[in-house]
Amino acid sequence: MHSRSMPLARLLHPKILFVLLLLITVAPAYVMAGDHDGDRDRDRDHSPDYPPYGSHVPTAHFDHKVRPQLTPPAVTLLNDGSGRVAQSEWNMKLVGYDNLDGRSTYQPLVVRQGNRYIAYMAHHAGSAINRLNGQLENNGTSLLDVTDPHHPIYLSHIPGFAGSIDAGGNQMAHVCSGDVLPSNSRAEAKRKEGHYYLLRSNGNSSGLKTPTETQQIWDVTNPSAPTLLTTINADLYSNTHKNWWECDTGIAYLVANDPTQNWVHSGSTQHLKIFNLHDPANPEYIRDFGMVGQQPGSATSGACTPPACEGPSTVIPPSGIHGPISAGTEKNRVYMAYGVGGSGVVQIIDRNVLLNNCKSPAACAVSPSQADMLAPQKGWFTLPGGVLQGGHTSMPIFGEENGRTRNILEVTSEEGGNECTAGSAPHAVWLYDITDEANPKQISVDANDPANTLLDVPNGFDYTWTFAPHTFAVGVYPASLTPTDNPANLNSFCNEGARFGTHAVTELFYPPYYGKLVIASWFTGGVRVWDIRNPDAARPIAYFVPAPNGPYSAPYTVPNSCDETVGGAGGPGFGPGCTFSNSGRNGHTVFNIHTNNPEVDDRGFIYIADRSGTGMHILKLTGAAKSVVDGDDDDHHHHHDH
Amino acid sequence: MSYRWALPLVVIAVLCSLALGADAPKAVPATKDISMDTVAKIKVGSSTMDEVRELLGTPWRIINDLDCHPEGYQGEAWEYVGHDADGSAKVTVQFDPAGIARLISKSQAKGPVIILAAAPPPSHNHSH
Repeated sequence: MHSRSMPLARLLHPKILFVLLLLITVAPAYVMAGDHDGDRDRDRDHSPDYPPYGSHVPTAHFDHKVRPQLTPPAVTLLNDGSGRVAQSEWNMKLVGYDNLDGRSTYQPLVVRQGNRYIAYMAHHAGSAINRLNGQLENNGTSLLDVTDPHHPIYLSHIPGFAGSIDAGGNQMAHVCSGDVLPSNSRAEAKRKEGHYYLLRSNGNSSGLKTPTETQQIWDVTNPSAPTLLTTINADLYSNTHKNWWECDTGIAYLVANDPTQNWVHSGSTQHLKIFNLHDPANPEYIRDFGMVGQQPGSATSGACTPPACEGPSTVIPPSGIHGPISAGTEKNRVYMAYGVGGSGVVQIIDRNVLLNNCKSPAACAVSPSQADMLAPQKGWFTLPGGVLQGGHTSMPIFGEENGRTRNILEVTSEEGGNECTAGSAPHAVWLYDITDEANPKQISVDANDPANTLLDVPNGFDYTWTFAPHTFAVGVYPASLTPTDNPANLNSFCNEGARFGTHAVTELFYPPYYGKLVIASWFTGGVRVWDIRNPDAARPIAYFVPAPNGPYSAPYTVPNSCDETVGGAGGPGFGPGCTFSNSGRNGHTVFNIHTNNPEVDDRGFIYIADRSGTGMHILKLTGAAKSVVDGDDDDHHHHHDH
Repeated sequence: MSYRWALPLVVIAVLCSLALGADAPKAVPATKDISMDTVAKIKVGSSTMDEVRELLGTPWRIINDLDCHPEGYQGEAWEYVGHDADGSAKVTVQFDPAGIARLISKSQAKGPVIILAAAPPPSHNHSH
């Protein structure tokens, strides 16, 4: 009895009571303030060893098995032209969501930082209210902790610059670990130890020499409080976009231009400025590069004559680059897509030659000769549809089939017009066999598809393509598709106010998906997935089309919508949702899904970003799509795909 | 035994708690509630961004993703929260690249987007 009562008596001692009171008072405030040591995570680096973080490229194992072509289930669209009623899914499932404060978003990037997963969501131009401080901020980069993908935590927003879509916003982000980036000295290695660096491109292609179109590097070791490290040649570079950064070498391929250096381009005024960013605080310039015919002194008009202008679809001067993807030191190749949404060319480049053949004379770096430009080129090809299709993304798949090397390239164009602009082509994904680099060959061809590929999306699944008389190799949209002029075809992706067509594919060389799946964003069509284990017969296997969180999503299928409070602090709270309404032809305006870019993380979660402000959706594969990854579907074909 | 010596410490602890708590997310200020009568003063086809801002104030959100629009509404779009007899509504003003208001729409909790006024650009040059 006595022994049990003594501890209670001790607890009631005034000094102990005071300490307890102190703990009770201070501890909750400490927790509320949050983001202390956990944000400065100095755990061992866990970066993957495959591109863009490392150079170990997985080997895809292709086959020639005949698998049934599956018909995706129909997406239900409202028939009054006002938007969808609910999300639609097939072999994919929503795991988590954040509205990103209603900011229009271009690219998702998810990086493992120590023991956390941090999402970097790069925004288009615009502005919105930052939920963390209540301030109206120019769109830049949103950082979220997605360690628990079911419950993303919004950590910070790095504001961007004001301006048009071509001058403001952030759009593209890459992150490298200071423990992976090489160092020239122990002091440099020590300085970078435990740090993470964000390379982001601000603006796009206004062509203006402004302080807004810049390449910035931020220290994001503490993702709740990023700090600006440097701006690369802040006063010189414009025309940014889709960079690539090799973390294990530091080599960064920056999409940019310096208007004073007289490079010439059609369309987007962009080529590459290549740096070594092994020490992010001290960028080291290497050289400029692009398509032959873009170097200073090239013709700016005239007939297309090889090799300066190769093929019937290219133009003088050649179209600007959209973005490169490097396969790193192990494969020694860089793939470059030009043209964005028209006059497309894809170039296969020898990485070593690219990085080393312009070391002398010095003028070669900024003003190479035609021979200098051609030296690294191993192959090139144009796209089906001639001038109607552009090179947006070119993602290599290195593999084997029956023990023999077989390499594939995924290529996308970019749809640019809302509601299937009359006369424009349906932009799609193509597969090319690039085993013989000098002679790339399109595979998974579908002669009945207007884009000539099996990796296309039927128009709302209830509409037959209409071929208009034209001079191009593939189909174009007819003049009549909108509710005004074609009332019989309302239940269509082409009547959703925004773009319908592809944009980009995932770019992480994630082994479980590598060579098995193509994951592509399709604007109003959401995200689409194909099974390419037999690359000659790609087949649709999954899709996910989010619900707009505007009026037509009620009851909301996802938490944390713009109408709800966020973390008890209140979201933008403007009433009818985050999703923006876009206008198509004849002013036809609806709330639309506008899935911009997809990306995966090294756990296999798929992230999509919405151009119309709906936010970020975190997805996982289910059913037949998961079986493709697990490899357990070939012995007993599934019949439960829907 | 007196414990007055502990009182200042308790006060300091409470003040520290309040100060640290202040770093927690702040409430978002209320968005300006515009009236449809004011919206009606915008002249599509001629009102500039400055004029719209003078009438309606700063938009709660700006979207600028319309880089290749088939009808030429390819400048910024500004969003406001307003109300009329039907209840609260989101009002969107779309500008052309020259900063001229071209389309005004409203959306409410139910029903399609309603076009309040539109003045398509005189010509359309679509390019990628």
